[in-house]
Amino acid sequence: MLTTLMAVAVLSAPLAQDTDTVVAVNPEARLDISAMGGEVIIRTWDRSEMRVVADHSSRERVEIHLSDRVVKVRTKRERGVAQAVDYEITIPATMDVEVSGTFLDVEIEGVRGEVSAHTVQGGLRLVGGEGFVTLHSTQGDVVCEGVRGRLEVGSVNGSLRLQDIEGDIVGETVNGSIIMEDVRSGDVEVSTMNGEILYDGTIAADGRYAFSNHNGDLTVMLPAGTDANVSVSTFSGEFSADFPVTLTETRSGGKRINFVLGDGGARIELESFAGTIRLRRP
Amino acid sequence: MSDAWTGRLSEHLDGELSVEDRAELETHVEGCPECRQTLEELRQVAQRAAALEDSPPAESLWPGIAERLGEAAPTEPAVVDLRQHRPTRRRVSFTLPQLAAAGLAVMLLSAGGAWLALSQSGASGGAMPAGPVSAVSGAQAIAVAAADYDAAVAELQDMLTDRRSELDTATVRILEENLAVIDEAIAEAQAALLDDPTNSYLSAHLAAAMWRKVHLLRRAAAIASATG
Repeated sequence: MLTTLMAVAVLSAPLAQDTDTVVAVNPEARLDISAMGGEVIIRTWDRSEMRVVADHSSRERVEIHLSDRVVKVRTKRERGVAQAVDYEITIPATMDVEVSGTFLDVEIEGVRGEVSAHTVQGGLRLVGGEGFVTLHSTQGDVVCEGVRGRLEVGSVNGSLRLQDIEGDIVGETVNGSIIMEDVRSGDVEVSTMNGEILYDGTIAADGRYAFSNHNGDLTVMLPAGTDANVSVSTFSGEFSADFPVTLTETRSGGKRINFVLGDGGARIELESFAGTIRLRRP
Repeated sequence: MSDAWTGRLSEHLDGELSVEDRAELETHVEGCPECRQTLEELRQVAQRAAALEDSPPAESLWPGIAERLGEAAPTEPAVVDLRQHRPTRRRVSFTLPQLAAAGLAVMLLSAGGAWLALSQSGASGGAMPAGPVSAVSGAQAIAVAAADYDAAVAELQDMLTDRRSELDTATVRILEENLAVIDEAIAEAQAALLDDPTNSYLSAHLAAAMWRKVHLLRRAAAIASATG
């Protein structure tokens, strides 16, 4: 039945204003949504179906293109560029999700597949996501929670807030803070030009943790008993630690220091051109 | 995977280590296959950089720059075939070994040092300083890196200017504000590097900021293309 439905390559019909429709989908397929503007909210359920609820004007229509591997949702307009549409879409939790837009806010919750979301102006919020997860907003904050897998997250003019993350993390922004809490990772690499960085998570024995900013405080919470080789570099900033450290090397007038915690092992690089670098106990 | 010595391999190549540290590192490298491999890769990058031909910027610089950034379909490699070193992910903070691994070595490894070298020599792409800035920033590599960087930035900024009308005004404002943030960081890093020319952190920090500017300009161009 599902196969038969999939064989109909395109289910494309002009839908009335305020679309509300349910279609059968392959739970292993990828959902691909591209929208100029508005809001996309994605939730999950335990069915092999997708429900699309969209709030739009009568001049726009929603097209759903079905195949076995990809489910595309697009907004169309007879003339000109489609205007903002607010979507609320419910999908099988196992589907991968890909969302892109220009003036778009995105909220995704409960997905157990891979997630990719990009917007120019708008915020991104993700709860869930497994495997490879990549999120980017040019002008907007990015909030992630509960990701299990590799996370690549970025903004230009926005902050990154990561909570309950398990897996490698790569993050960067230009003008915004990067806050990471309840992280379990062996590889973290984040950077901002202008903003605070906070890391509160595990330090794996063979892990690598690189934190870098130009302006703003940089704080890393290090549990007692951490084994790590730590390097600290600054130009006009300061360094402080909640606990005594024995420097193994000092360069550039004390602005570049190395020390070992415990038996070494993990590698922690802390770089802040003008901010204060702090090591704290959780 | 890395260890306490990984980040110091570049210093070793640069001859910055003390006699004691050098001996300890060499002992470590003998027993550490990963460090040995990384060191060998760094040496190869250094050799390639030293062998570069000094040539004027090509008419169409972007393909070469993009290739070196590992982000575009490559044509003929102008300097180093960095596809071999293309990172599995982006690097946002650079040490020499990371750069080598990331495949940005020739352009960005030299970028911070290139600026310093050129500023100290009073030239803008011609005369080189007497001494090496780093093991991989030979005079020719520096000239190529500096010219490539300047040309890439100029080309992208021109593109952005041309397509400004295709971008939303708020987006333009945000992009310009953030480019200003990066420019300020670049200027501060440059001033710091003049104060402390041998500081490899500052050199890497400057290179990272310069890379960030190119990256943001590219993003702006991509947004303009997508919305235009």
